[in-house]
Amino acid sequence: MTASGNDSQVHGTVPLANLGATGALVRPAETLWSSFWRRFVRHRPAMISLVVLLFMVVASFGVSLFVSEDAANLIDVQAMRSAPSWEHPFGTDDVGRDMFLRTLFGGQISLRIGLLAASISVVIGITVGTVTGYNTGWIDNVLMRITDALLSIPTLFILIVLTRVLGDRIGVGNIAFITLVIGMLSWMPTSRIVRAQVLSLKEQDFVLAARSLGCQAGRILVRHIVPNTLAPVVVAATLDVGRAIIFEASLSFLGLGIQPPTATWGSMLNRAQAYLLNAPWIALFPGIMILITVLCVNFLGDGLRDAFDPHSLH
Amino acid sequence: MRTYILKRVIQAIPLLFLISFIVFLSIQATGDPLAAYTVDASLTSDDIARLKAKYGLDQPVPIQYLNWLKNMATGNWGTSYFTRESVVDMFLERLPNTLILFAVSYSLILVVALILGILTAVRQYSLFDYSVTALSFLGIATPSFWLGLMLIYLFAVRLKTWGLPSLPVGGMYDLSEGKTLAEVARHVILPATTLSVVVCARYVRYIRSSILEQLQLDYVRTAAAKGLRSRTVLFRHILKNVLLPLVTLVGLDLPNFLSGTIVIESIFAWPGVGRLFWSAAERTDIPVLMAIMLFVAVITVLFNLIADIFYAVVDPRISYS
Repeated sequence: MTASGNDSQVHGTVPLANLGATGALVRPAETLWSSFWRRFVRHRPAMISLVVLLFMVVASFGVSLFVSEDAANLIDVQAMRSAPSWEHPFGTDDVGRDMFLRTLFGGQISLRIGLLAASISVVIGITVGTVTGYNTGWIDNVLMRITDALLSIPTLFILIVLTRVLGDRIGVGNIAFITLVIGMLSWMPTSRIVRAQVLSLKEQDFVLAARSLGCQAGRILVRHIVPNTLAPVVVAATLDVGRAIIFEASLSFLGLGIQPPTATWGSMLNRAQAYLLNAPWIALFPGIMILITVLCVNFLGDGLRDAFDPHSLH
Repeated sequence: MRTYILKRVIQAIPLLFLISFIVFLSIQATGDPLAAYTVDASLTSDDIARLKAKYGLDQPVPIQYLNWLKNMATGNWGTSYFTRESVVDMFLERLPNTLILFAVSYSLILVVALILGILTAVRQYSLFDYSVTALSFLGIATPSFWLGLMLIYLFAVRLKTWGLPSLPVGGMYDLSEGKTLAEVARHVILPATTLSVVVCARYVRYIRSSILEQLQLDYVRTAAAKGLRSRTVLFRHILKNVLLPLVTLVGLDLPNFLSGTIVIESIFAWPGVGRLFWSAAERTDIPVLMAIMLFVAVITVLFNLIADIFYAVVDPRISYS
């Protein structure tokens, strides 16, 4: 009993309280989260990325407090395709809309689609992963084959067909629909990660212990198994955010995603190719924003991976 | 090993059926193919019934599925809603162009990734290593269609306005020059580079970390201890172990590459399958969309199967039973 009591304090590096009384070797007890945070902070690219991402979220959502979205959609033919200046820091587009405001408002939608689509993908991925990992039977077989099938059809092909075919009925450019479709087509890698984890976790002693205490399968999964799979899932989810942003941008760039005048980083690039010669800034800034966001999200994923790994050198 | 290969082939069959079923269901989801006729008042319900019987639409859905599958397998892919051309012919006309793009891109990817991967691993923590690593992080995060726009701006638009030799903005050859090898080569550079950057960046990361991992292993120490030059150890021993998993990686990447061709072929007006798919999507040309989707999925499954079998044949360490 005492031994297991000590085990549960394994993250407190100094388990014996009386050592503190002698005045030697005292170090503040380290919790799971403080050791996680300590390793994360030392991953400098991840820390910088976190700050940059927070800044982008605050800037793109905060701008709504000062100007309305109409200002970003305001067409000013007098100022068509004017180069970056003090008045228009990112220049104006082909109908004279201010690119700076559009980049900020576009960020709201691009970031929101990225985060929501990744959340949908994580929920489906965890559900499918745990179900298939825990019950190896016909359900496992069927769901795994569906996962394989969806992995074999290149995502952009299904995305285009779905947004085209169903979009005609639901309304092309419906943000919720596009978010949902992207989310529902990105869960397969997550479910595979979760499944692999569950397959090994369910054989471990603590699951046996829980079962012998009379735990129902549902409680074992939710309380004991799923929390242990979360570390790689969080890493996969951050990468999903970047992928979702690029998918939305590709769709909107092709003209199937969010429709003008609503700005997203992809839809702003939609007509940029026609003006590469005279107004290259139309193509430059939205793309740079996508690049910075995805870069930061990837670094964040790296940092989280290292921080979750107790063996990491950081 | 023969049983392993047989097992993998048998596993692939239900997967192919499932994929075809998903594609078939998406066709069904597009609605009643005769919906347009029901508006026509001159057609009686008898006429509609006769049309239904003619196209087999009065059959139960599973039978319709089997008929459709038979048609797809025998190369009867239907006709385009818009051009009235046979879908198979449209597809076969475009396929070689996408294959050219694929071949050039992957040659570029493998050569560049190998050189950079080996050099960064050998000179770990040098300035060169840091610069290439930074560049590959950038490459992985770059949306390929935006990179395409930037490359057009730099190498086609800017160089031309500066009066320097420039690359064409798109297409496969200049009409005035005709479809010569040199023309196609000039036109393929930009789209192939664009498609290569993201994949290449990931392979550089993979090859570098994989070589560094192998360097820690006992067989490398043994090889060094018996007096082999480090170059021999690298090229004769380490590279074999690094390149084998790369085959699997290429197989897994194929869907991503094909997705990329849709956008990149559209930007560069490259007359390949991706652009055909995109123009069909713009016109909601269902037969073309579905045929390409099914083909692409089948190719992906087969490619992965071949990669797995190749891996099993080439790598003697793993016993498959």
